[in-house]
This record gives sequence, structure tokens and C-alpha cells, in this order.
Amino acid sequence: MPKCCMTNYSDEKLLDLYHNSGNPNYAFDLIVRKYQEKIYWHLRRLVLDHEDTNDLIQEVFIKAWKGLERFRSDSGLFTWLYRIATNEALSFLKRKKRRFFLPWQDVEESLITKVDSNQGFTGNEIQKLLQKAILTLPEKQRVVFNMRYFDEMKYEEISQILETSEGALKASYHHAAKKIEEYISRH
Amino acid sequence: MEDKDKIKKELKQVAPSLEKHSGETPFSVPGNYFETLPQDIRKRREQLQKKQHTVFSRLGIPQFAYALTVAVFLIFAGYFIWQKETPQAMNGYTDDALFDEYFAYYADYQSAAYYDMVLGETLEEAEDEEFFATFDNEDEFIDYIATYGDYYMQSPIDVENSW
Repeated sequence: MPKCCMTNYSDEKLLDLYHNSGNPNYAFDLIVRKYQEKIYWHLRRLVLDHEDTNDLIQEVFIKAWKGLERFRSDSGLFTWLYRIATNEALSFLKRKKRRFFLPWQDVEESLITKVDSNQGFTGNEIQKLLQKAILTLPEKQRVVFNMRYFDEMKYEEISQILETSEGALKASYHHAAKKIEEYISRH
Repeated sequence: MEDKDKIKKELKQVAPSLEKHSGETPFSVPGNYFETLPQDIRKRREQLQKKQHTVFSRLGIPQFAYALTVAVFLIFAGYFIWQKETPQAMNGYTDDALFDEYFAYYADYQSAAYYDMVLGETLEEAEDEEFFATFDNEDEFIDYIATYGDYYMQSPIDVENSW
């Protein structure tokens, strides 16, 4: 079967291949192919820069490969990968802040500059404004907003990934959406 | 993934102006990026596996034997040092017990010599009313004995030689 079609395997099937096929590296390749785009876009929306995203996604899958042996399938492969990716992205932003001795606001400023410079940005002016507005949100709200608005995820799924109650996530998303709308109307 | 209509409906209630852009990600990626990414990850993984293999090979048999020899040597050396420092038994007594006994005997001997000498002299002096009159009270007399005693106790061996 060609690799393109094997990426349609269910998580259970992929994990079974990883543990029992005698070729875990091949099974892991299939997992990468299945989830690389979703994880890439999740990371890209948080760090914006392609090169940074490329480094991070490799790190995410290397960590997943190291931990897959001990992975308990009760939380779901997709949820687990998303959790690793979210933690990696947030740690990256924190490291960036420390490395340059900049307050958090300045890191956001540098990200806004990236959007303005149009590097890898293909959207129109409204979308640019939307990205800038998202960057004004606190980090956790940004993650929640992106997952709901762009990835169209259920609160239940986000709740499993971020280990936060659905009620708190709903409130966070509504609050973020209102703030973004306000920002756009002001600019 | 959630039903798109449900998300749009929710957004319409909370922030209606955002509704029309939901789901659009306005960033580009280099061409064929998602074709080459699995290969890049595989390369990194293989490098990591090689590195781990090298670390394990360092703990291979020849190196392990060498480490074992050093460990055995250290254990023996440690044992002999410990043996040397442990008190040896001699005629049923350990060094410590012998020392304690000797010390007790010596201390008794010194005390006896000290009391004979100091108190003897003091008592002789005490018989001298003139000498005793130099003290206003009993405390001063005790102080005098203590001071006198200090003189001998500073170098107890001299007590023995002074006989």
C-alpha cells in the first residue's frame, strides 16, 4: 500500500504497527506523515516564523519518538502530539524572551513586525490585522483561540490537550474573540 | 473536529465580525516542505539513535571489564583501609578499652597525687591561723585552692616528677 494511503490508518492501527510490526521506525514515519501538517500549522500560528516552526516541529516529533514507547493510548495520539507541540511552542517563546532580556511585550512586538514584513504571509490587510490582534492576547488565550478559530476543535478536545475545564476554555475563547473584535474595530 | 456551523454560530453571537475569516491561515510554506519534513525528522532520529548506540557501546564488554577491575581494586583498598582503622583486639581488649583503662588508672593516680599535694599543703597552711585569716570567707579560700589546683593541672605529668 502506498504511503499516502497508509496515513489514513487510525491511531490504534498506527500504534499497533509501532509496537507489533517489528519495524517501529516505519510506523513512526506514518505517524509523522499523518499529523505533520496539523502540528505544523498549530506551531506556525503561535511562533509565526517558518524557520522557528521547522525547528520546533522536528523537536516535537523527536520527543514523541522518544516517548512513544511509554505512551498510554488512553489520551489519544492526536491529543498527545498536540500537547507536546503546545508545550514546545510556549517554552520556545519563553526562551526567546529570556535570551534577549526582553519583556514579554517586546517579543510580541517582534512577532508583529514579522507579520508586517510579509515574510511568508499571504493574507490580506484584514487578515494581517487579525494576526496582530491575536498577538495582543495572553499566551494561553492565544492557544485556545487558535485551536477553536483556525483548527475548529471541540472544547472537549482542547480540554484534553490543555488539561483545562471546558467551561474555562469557553470563557477564555469568548473573551479572546471579543478582544480581537475590539482591536480590529479600533484600527 | 467540531461541526463548522456550530463554531460559526457561536462566533456570530460573540464576535460577529470575525465570522467570515475563521479557518483561514494566511501563511505560506516553502514548496514540497511536507514531502521533505518526514525525511528530515528521520535523519535526526537516526543521528540520535547512532549517538545512543555510541553511548551504549562505551559500556561494551572490554570497557566494562576495565571498569569492573577498577571497582574491585577500590573495594579491596577500601576494605584494607577500613581494617587498619578498626580497633584491633588484643588479649580480649580492644585498643580503645586498653586506652580507657590506662587513662582511668592514670587519672586516679594523678588525682590522688594532686589531692595529697595540694590539699596537704593547703591544710598545713590552713592550720596556720595567720594564713587562714587572709581569707575573708570560705569562697575566697575555695578560689585559692582552685587557682592553686590550676597550676598543677596545667601540666599533670609534673605532679609525678615533683615527688
